[in-house]
Order: sequence, then C-alpha cells, then structure tokens
Amino acid sequence: MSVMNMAISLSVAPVGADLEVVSLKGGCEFNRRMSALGIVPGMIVNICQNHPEGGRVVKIGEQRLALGEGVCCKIKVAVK
Amino acid sequence: MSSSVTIALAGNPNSGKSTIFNALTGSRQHVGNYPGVTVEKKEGAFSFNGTEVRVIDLPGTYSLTASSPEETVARDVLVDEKPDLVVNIVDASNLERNLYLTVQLLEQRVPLLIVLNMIDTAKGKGLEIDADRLSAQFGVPVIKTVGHRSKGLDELKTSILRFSGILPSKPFDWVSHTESHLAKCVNDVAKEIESVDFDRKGIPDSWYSLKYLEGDKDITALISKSSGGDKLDTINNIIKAVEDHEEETAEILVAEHRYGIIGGICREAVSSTIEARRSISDKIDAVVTNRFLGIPLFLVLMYCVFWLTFTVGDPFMGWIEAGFGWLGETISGLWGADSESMLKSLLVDGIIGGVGGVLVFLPNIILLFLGIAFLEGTGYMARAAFIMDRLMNKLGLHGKSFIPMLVGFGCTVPAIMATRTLESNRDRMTTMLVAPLMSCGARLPIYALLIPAFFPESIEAEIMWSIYVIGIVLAIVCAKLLRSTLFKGEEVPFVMELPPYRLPTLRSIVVHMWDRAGIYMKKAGTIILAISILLWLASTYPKTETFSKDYSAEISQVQASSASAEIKAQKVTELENQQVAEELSNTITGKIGHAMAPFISPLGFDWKIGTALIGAFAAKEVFVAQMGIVYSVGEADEESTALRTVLTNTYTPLQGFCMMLFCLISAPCMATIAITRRESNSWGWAMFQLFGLTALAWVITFIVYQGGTLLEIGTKMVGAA
Repeated sequence: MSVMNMAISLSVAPVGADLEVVSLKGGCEFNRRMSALGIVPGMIVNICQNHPEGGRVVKIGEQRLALGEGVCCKIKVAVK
Repeated sequence: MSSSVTIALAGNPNSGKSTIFNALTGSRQHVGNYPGVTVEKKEGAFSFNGTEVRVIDLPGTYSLTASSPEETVARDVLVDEKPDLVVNIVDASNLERNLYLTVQLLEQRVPLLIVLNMIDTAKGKGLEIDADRLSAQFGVPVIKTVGHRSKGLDELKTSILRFSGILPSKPFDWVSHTESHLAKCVNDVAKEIESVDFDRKGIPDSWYSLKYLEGDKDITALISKSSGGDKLDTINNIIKAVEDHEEETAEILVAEHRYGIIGGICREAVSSTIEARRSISDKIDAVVTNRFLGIPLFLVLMYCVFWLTFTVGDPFMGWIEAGFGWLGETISGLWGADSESMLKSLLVDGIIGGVGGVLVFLPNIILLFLGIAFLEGTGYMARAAFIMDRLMNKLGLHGKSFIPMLVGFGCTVPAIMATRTLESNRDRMTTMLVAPLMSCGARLPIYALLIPAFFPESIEAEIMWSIYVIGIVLAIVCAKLLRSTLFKGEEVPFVMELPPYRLPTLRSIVVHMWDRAGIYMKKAGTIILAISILLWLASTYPKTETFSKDYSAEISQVQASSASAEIKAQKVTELENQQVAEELSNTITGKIGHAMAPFISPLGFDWKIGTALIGAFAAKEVFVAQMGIVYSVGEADEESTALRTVLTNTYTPLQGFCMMLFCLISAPCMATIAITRRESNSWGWAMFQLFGLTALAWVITFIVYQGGTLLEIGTKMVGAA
C-alpha cells in the first residue's frame, strides 16, 4: 500500500508515533508558512500533546509547535 | 581614521537575536515604527576600533516571502537599504529550521555572516557543529556565540568589521546542489525573467524566479506589470509543467528543496552524539499544556501575577502619593496659605494633581509588566496562548489576544500596544477596539467610591464582580460582532512555536519591562500633562465675578455669631464649599456639564455628573476628584466619607450603578484614544472606538436606568431614611 493511501489528517493522528508529513492542503500562503516552520512533505513529526478540542503540540526535530485545530486538519500525515 | 558601516540582524523569533542586539548596542537604541505598518523598527549603534556601526534589528521572521508585515519589512530593508552586512543569528540547537532563513538570505545574495547562537544549548543536546565545514558549504563566514552571556561578543564585533561588504565567496546556485526538475525550472524561469525590464536593485534573477514560484504577492505583481502577456504565459507554463510532473504545488517544491539542501549540509557539518531524549521542556509541557491541568494552572499563575501587582504595589503607591502630596504642599508653601495665585493653582492642582494621579499607578504597571515579562521570558506565554486559543476562538478572538486583554485589567494603553503580537490585522483591530472594556486599574477608584455609598456591605463584592463581568461579556459580544461585520474573514490558523523553557536573565526581564513602563511614563509626561493643564483651565475659567450671595460677608457673620466654635467651623466650611461649587458651575467645564444635562438625563445623570464625566475622559480616576469639587466637599479621594455621604443622600443606588456602568463602557481615556490612533495608524479607528463605545455606554445605561426605574429596582434612596 502506498503512503498516500494511508494519509490521515494530523488532527486524528495518534500521540507519540512518528508521523511523516505527506501533504499540505492549504492555500499558497498557508503552505509557505508551514514550510518555513519545518512542516513540509517528508519531514517527521511527533505529537506530544493532544487536546480534546483538536489542538496539538507537535515536535519536529528539536522544536515544539502548538497548532490549532484548523491547522491540524490541513496537514496530512502517515504513520511510519 | 573613522568610517561607518550599516549592518542588519536577521533571524527567527526566539533565536536570541534581541539579546545580541542589546549586547551589541547597549543603551544606544532607538525604537520606532516602520512607516505605514506597525512593525517595530529597532535601531542601535556601537563603535568598535574607530568604526561607527549602525545596527538595524530586523523583525524576527521564519522566512522572507511577503506573507506578513514583518516578513515584508525584513525583506524590504534588505532590498532597499542594502546593509553592508547581514548578520544572521541562528539558534544552533534548532539548526535545520533556522537555516531555512539563511538559505533565503543566500538566495538574495547579500553580504552575510552566520552567527551560531546558543551553542551551549546545542552541546547540551549532544550536537557538535563544525563551523568551518558549514562555512565552506555556504561560502560565508560562520562564528559561534553564547548570546545570553555576552560570550564571544568581541569576536562578533571583530568579524562584523572584517566581513562588512564582502559577498558570499560563491553564488548560492540551486543547480550545483540538486539536479532536479525544480532546479531546472528555477533556472528556466530566471532566464525568461532576464529579458524583462525592471529595476532589479542588484538582486540576481534567480531570486525573482524563486519568489515568483513561491507566489510572493509583491514580486508576482512586479513581474506581471513589467512583462507582456506572452512572457507570463511562458513562465506560468514552465511552472505548471514541473507542478504536474512532481504532483505538488510550486511553493511546497521550493520548500522541500531548501530543506533537502539544508539536510545535506547538516549531515556533513553536524554530528549528534546523543539520541533524542525527552527533554526537561517536554516534561514541563506534559503538565503545563495538559488537557486537564492546563487551564487551572493558567488561572493560578494569572492570579499570582495580579496578586503581585496589587499587593506588592500598594506600599509603593502610598509612597508616590505621599511624595506628590509633599511636593504639592512644598510648592504651595512658596506662596503662603491664602494666596490666590493662578500660577500656584496651575502647578499644584493642575500639573502635580493631574500627573501625580496617573503616576501613582506606575508601581502597579511596573509589577504587572514584570510578571508578564517573566512569564514571556520563560516561554510560558506561548503555551498560555495555545491553552486559551480554543476558548478565545469561540469568543471571536485569537489565542494570542488573551495577553492584551489580560494587560487591559492593568491599563488599556500597554494592552493596545501588546496587540502587536497578533499577525492578522482583523484580529488585531478587533482586540484593540474591545480592549478598553476590560476594566482598567484607573476605574477602580470610581467603584471604590460609589459601591460603599449605595450598596450594603454584604453585596459590595458581588457588585464589583458584576461590573468586571459586564465588561468582559460586552468585550466578547463586541468582538463577535466586529468579527462578523467589519472584520469579517477567515480565522487565522493558530501556529505558534513553543520555545524551550529557560530561566530568563534579570537583565532581559528588566529591559522588557522598562520598554513598556517607559511608554506609560512618557504618556504621563506628555498627553496627561497637556490634558491636566487644559482641564485645569476649563475648570478654573472664566472666573466668577459676582456670586449669588456675598460669601465673605456671610462667613464673617457666622464667625461673629454666638454659636460654638465647632458649629462655626462647620458652617464656614459649608459656605466655602458652596462658593467653590458656584465657581465651578460658571466655568467652561461647568457649562459643558450643564449643556450635557439634557443628553444624559435619560441615564439618570445631572449636570454635576456630566462635569465629572468630562474629567473621566482625561483619566478615569479624575471622575472621583471632579465629583469632590462639584459637591464642594473639598479634596476628595475614593476613601472620602464626606463625598460618599453627599452621594448617598443625593442619588439612588440605581443611579450609582449607572454611573459605574457608564464609566466602565464609555469613551476610553484620552491616552487610549491616542495610542489607538498610533497603533491603528488611523484617526478613523480611534474615533470609531471613542464614539462607538460612548454610544454603547449610552444605550446600555439607558436601558438599565429606564428598566430599573420602571421595575422600581434600586430606586429608593438609601440615605434619605
């Protein structure tokens, strides 16, 4: 099965697992912003915290990012 | 021989750029705004070995594409001002993400010096960085520092002078790094751009090509304007072809390639000795951003900040008050007790009274900012914004809006300044316009005077609480309303970096706090001073030439009578106060108060309250002093029992409540209007805030007063019995 088929949105991805960013589903500006923060296809992210309302704290390399619910929905990842 | 160079500091937020800027320039700094936008413009200077160095501190950004005002400003400074050297501050402990900006600086081909900052933190994480290798790969000099200990500062200064004006030793050519379809596409587009005629400002075509691919609005517009339709079609077809081939949009392809290059270089130059482990930061975050503990912990911390602000600040306030009191007495002493000198009155009642009244809050302001600066310095505020985001979103605001709203309980002026952290203009304007509804510290004396005058002790706390809650609820309603009408638009996605927790240095906290407190003091020295003088003039002139009765004759009559000394003194004071009140009623302020009467009588207010409301516009707490004057009880403050008794016997509890309500909602003080004008860059918004809130106050007070009268709630005078 290819990675694309398994893509799920970050808002429903499991906590703790290594996740590979598969695609960004926002507009040009959203994609650029995420890219500048290191969220770009191929990068590995890891969810540290999830909030019941959909917000996530994710770890990319050495940095921690807090992402709102709307942001998480537009980031597609696959469990490695 | 003396010479001068200009350098610009570029770097990500949280890269330690400000610390290096402060270490380089010390107190030789100037903070202003970039014209037309509210991005802070920080400049400083230092001299070293006979060279004068001007330092521009660019706003902290992750990228150089025009997506936010900060990024646009950073890019424009580099393009237009052409600094002799760009010093790129890089957080060594988070190298790859930080180098993303570095790569963009290289693309722009500016003279560059890379400073690996926080090298000790990187070491602690087991990262060993080979600066020479990095330097060879990028073709630019690389040095190491530990920003917060001023270590390596002299080396930095020496390097700045040495490398100023020197371009990277090799062009940063995409093709030399990757032989991909995208690299070819960038070159092809650059070739097409080559024949387009526009002012390149010394930047290579490949940069314009990259920006076009990334969809940078400014550059896309520039190229579209300068080239014909055919040329644009050719360019767009080249891009379309690569997008189709790679099944990905151009801006993501560009980003992927940049990270590819960075990853390759890092594999060469960085060796990691320790496997990733759960850092202390993660352990703290597990508690602080926990889904259950997060909000309670946040509330406890906020309570601590406010406790610190008001409890610790109290004695200092007393000292400042006493200090101004002493100053006033000393100055009046120069004239003698009975002097009617106008200069004395101006100095003592106008200037010292007015400015002193505002500066009394300085300890509170300093402590509040100290608490906030500490929480910001540790990295907690970013977490707090995240915890609050969901809630704030429901209220029509952004997670980051909560900091300004919180500061608003202290003073609205710094609250409005704190809206700068909001990226979207819509969120920023909404927060700015509703911030005055958070009941500020200056309104406290009004409540402290009125509540005990009209309400039984058992419900005093509840009444106070209700006023604050009304303010918060109105702020929420207004924010919702503004966001769905004037500032309609998509919600800005919440993305925030959570910097690792660190213990901030005392110096950085003090500098931060001082920045904000300084603005408050400046306000006291300028706007408040001017308004104090104006208000004094308005409440002093025109002088009453003939009184309705001959007060001095009546006073001598009382003194000559056979009553006891105590009664005599009481009657004399009464007469003197009546005279002062009559004088005030004839002055400009009094006349405005009378003129206002028909407009405010539906709210249950008379001309005397109108006069006090004019005072409240200068600074909310002036309301109390002005009521003291109109009710001729002499000097009045919120503890004044004489004034309280008069109020109790004159107004109903409903009227008292309406006064508080009106003071809470209506026209924010003049300083707020001035700061809104500055921060929104428009008088229009400042006036909208002024009249909008006043109209809102009128409507709500009208409803409460008329409704209360109709239902006979609180219409019985407490004092009449």
